[in-house]
Amino acid sequence: MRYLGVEDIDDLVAGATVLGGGGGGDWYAPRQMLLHAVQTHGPVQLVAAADLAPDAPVLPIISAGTPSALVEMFHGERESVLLRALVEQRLPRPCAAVLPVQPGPVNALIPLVVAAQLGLPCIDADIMLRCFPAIEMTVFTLAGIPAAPLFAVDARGSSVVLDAPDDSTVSALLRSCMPHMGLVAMVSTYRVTAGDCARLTGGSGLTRCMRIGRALRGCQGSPDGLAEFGAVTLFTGVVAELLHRTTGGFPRGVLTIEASDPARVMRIDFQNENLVATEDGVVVVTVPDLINLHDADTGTVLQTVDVLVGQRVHVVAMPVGGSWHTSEGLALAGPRAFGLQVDAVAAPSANAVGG
Amino acid sequence: MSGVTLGRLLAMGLLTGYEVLGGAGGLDRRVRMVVPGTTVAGVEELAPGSVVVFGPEQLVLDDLSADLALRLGRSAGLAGILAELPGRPVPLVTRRLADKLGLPLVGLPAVSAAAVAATFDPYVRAPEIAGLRLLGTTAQRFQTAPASPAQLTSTLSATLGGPVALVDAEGRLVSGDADAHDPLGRADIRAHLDRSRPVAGTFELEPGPPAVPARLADPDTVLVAPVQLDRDGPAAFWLAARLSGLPGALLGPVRQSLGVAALSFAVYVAGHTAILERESRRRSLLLGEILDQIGEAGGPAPRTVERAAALGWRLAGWHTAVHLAVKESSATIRAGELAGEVEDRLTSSGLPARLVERVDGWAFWTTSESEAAALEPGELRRILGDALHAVETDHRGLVLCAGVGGGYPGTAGIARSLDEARQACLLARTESGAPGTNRVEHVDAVSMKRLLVGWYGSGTLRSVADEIVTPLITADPGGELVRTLRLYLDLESSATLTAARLGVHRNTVMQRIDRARRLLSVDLDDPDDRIVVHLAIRAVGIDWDGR
Amino acid sequence: MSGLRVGVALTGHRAVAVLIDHDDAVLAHHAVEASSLPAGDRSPGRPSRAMYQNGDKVGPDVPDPVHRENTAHRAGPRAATGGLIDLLGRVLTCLADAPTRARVERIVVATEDPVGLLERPVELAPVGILRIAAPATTSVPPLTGWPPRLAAAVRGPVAVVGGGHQYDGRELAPLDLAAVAAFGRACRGTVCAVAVAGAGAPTNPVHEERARSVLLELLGPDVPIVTSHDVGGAGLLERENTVVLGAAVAPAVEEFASAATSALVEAGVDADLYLVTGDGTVLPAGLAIRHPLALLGAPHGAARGAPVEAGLFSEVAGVRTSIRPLRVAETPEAVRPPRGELAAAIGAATGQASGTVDAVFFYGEGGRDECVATARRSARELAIRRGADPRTVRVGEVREGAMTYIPVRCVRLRVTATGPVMATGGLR
Repeated sequence: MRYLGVEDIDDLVAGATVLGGGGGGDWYAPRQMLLHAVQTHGPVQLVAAADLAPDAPVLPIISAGTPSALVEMFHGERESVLLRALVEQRLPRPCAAVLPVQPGPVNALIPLVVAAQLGLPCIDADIMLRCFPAIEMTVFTLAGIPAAPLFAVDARGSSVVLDAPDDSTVSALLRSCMPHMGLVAMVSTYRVTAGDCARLTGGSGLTRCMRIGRALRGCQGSPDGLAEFGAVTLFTGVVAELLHRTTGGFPRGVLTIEASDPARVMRIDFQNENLVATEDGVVVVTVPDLINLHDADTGTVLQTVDVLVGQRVHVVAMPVGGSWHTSEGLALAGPRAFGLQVDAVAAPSANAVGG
Repeated sequence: MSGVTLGRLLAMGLLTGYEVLGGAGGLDRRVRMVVPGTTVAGVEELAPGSVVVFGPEQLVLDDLSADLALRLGRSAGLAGILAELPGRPVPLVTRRLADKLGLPLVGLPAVSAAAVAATFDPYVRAPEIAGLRLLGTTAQRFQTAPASPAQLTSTLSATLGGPVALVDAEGRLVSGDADAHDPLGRADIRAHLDRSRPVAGTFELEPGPPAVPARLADPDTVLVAPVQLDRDGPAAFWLAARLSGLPGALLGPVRQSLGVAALSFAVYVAGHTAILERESRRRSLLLGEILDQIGEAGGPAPRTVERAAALGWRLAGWHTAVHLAVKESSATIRAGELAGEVEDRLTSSGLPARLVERVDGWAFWTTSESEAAALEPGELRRILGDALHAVETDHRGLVLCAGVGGGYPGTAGIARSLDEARQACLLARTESGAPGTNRVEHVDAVSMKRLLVGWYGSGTLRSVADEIVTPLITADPGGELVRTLRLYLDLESSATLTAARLGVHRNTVMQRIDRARRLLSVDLDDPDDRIVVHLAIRAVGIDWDGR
Repeated sequence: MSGLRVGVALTGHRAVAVLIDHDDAVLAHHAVEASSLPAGDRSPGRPSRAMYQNGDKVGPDVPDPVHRENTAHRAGPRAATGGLIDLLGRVLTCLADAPTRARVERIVVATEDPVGLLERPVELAPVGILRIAAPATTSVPPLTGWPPRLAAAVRGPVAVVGGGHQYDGRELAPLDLAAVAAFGRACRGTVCAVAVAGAGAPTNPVHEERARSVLLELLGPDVPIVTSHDVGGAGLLERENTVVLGAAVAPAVEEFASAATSALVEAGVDADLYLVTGDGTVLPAGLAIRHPLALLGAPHGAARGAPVEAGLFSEVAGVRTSIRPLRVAETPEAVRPPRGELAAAIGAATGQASGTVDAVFFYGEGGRDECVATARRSARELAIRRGADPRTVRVGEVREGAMTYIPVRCVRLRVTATGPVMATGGLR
């Protein structure tokens, strides 16, 4: 049996930043939440879904909203209890464990906070395999499981239950509720059992996230430390230009990164997360695989909102789980799903590049 | 050779508000056709040499697809991609990619792609129409004379779609682009410019290595046209244009355009020269008038003073005059031009001067509120020396010299300083030695001050000065004591005058002098000691090591 | 108008001063060394903090009769201040004669020594910590994750009370005035200063301002109150950390500012006193007390000479704050003043005043353009309050960040206004 204690938190944070792929919000407040929760309630038990009763309901958890609102008005201590009660009203029996949804800098941590506060174990898995901006970009959706009913509570005590015939309507309803919830809500979505999780999530998502973090911290943020996870440095250069624009409420933008050889320039298209890396009009790697910018001087894995012109960065590609590379997976989370009219390109394999 | 380049198409003025976002190096490729674009992927199917025009529905320039279009366009051998400007910045990476591929990427204000293609296509298919258009545009743009050489070259360059240079009779670049100036050094072109009867000419350059690999480099054509102030006279200037991939059908119109521009510029030069000469004569007459009236009661007549003021001359104040003359000359430069060049050099060194023609050279003077505010003579000599040297460098065989007068107040001071300056200039003319040495002489150079300067610089005085002054500085690091004592001695020991100059009470001065007396190791009442202290204290603060 | 200014780079062992005229020409410069380090009369009469060591919530209202006199807490800071003030007085006297000194219209001091106290937690006195954000944010009590020694040193009464504002400026909850008052009473006689941080304060500072009035009423003017909308920046925890650290050194900064003012009078200088901040801009000494941590990095900031684009959050004493570190590598060569050791003193004397606004703006009827105009106006007014000349203050580029993931009629704007400090010589 494995527990997550105070000493594991910084590894988890570092790994979640990598899986954030340039987005997923700031880890600072969630990290302090987890620290306080573990200090108060003790280490969180991590369980494999297969070790739970297959028909036991689980409580998927994601903190939804806007990162810049979360840093001002993060969760109190009541939301987890409220949310669980709301979910369990519709269940035949209590939830057996918490299930992380999105392994990003905020949402790899929040489910563990909830688990600690509720005294539940946390399943060692997640259902996005990396950070994506929409709650329906999950392996459950690929398996045909609907996102509804979706439950959301906020710090002031408001709550909603959203039922809808399809996932895009659920998403739209949630977006229209968020402004009234202070742009921060604790959300449970997908009605699934431990058996569904065991069947669909692969295994050890949180443990892997911590291993990634440990490897990264072990080499002071150098991308070389992530070779065992398939990470490849595509490009090294200085951020020469940063263009932001907002389309349909989503912050999009383009980064221009110049190598020391002035003939080499890389383009990164992003929308919260880094989506496509292009050199000379040739697409090098795209979502669903991860594209990260490592500050070449400090080793910090940068979020797109933090990039500054003049920063020297490594552009690092890292593959994500196989289910995203099926045609259904690419239709849901490939570049075209983000409005970029290019075909998906998988991250080059570390072995192939390394010879 | 047939076909127009994209650069020339753009230069025709058919479109306004376009922006070459990148790939300017490819603007000289010949265009075979101009077509509206359908899809980005469709770029692959286009014929080499095509220019494709996209509407906003097909291509958004800050979108990733712009990079893809450039890459596909490059492999299809396109001559350019035109698309609507998105109203947002186009990413640097896209502009850099266009540069790297040498494929022009041009942003247009909102227009229909089909309309742009339809506008350009006739000129591409029948270059002679383009030629007529070119000539028409030139005639329209040079209907009135240009306001300056820079305007001439920039307008002509924009009209012809290539670099243009204006050079003087000796082949020096006056304005415009070095790319058009460089080829004029070639022997046959040089000989053409030196012919006694100037005529227009056309030359082909050897093709250099292509700017973009795997592309055929067209030979560049250089066209030259003389600017003549009278029909049978020499060329005062030459206009040169350098154009690549010039189709035969355009050669005539370009040559004629150059001629039109040269004629238009000649009008400017004639007018400008007349103005300069008139002004110079006016200044010369006015100075003579002022000098004549000095002896008269009441000084210069009010009307004279008024005219002087209109020229920006100040008769009151502290004047320092400079006299300039030509020492040796084998150059053919005209006197008026030479004065203008000296004025330009002085102005760019921060000494704006208007030269007044005199019998044996030119003169000018600087005016300040007081002696203290006047330019330091050494500095003035340095600026003059540098300016004369710079002008000499431009004209082989020319040697100039100058004299600087002393500084004197009032209108009479102008006359006196001018006299001294002329004498010093004569001294400079008689100096032998290598050209460039002692080209500026100061009237004071042989006066009493030279003795003092030597005295100040002597090691004996320096050590004495240190010994005498150190206690004063130690006691008052702010330097008030030293300043007060120096002024007191300069003003013949008048505490009242010293107090007035320093803006303090007389008693304060007395207190300081008493304090200084106590600190000094010598007796201020002893005339010998007093002279030594006076010299020592004046030497304080002189930058010995900087000498 | 004399236009004479003095810049001083001041550390515990050395003071370098320059006198410059209205054209920024250096007329004189001087340096003095400390003869010996000041003898440390370390912190007698420090209040016992054991009583509040575990007080995450409002502690019991137990005034300590022996230590009601607040100035007693500042014995430590004063001992350190004495040395600085001695150096300041000496360097001014040697820099110029009395008539010249009398004509000086502005003195700008670059020092971070009063803030250096943070490196010696044992000398810090407890701080009252008030967060206005409940019921949100209660999952992280103040001081969570702080280095234990530092947390123990600054921990006075702590309260998280109802109130604060949402992303669009609406109330998150009504301000719980009773809880604020209870907290204020717990602070009486037990703390050297109070830190106040409210959710959404950069967008709407009303609750922080009201809490300040209540606390001022209860604690009197001698206890500095540092509020988070004055320090600015995104992130409640980051701002809270900044005001707690700031409050811990506020008495030392206040002590320094008032002692420096007396030293000026003694030296016959009737001039405005400004302090340099870590980004190289200047603050009137009276305002520095509102953001004491801003003095961090002052000598370096002054030496660099011009404000530059700042980076991510920076850590101070092991705690993440809302202060943005400077990216020195990006400084353009042209703005770097020469002259080696004089650089900091010249940079101080020529330093500009600035105001930065970094907050979420809600589109009112005027839409986005009005938000941008409001942000620009606020930055400009802030710069002017900090001494910038209204005639020459320039508003920089507005950096815009969208509210990610959820489309709302809000925008996060960050803009800085900068300008030369207004000459006041004409008034003398």
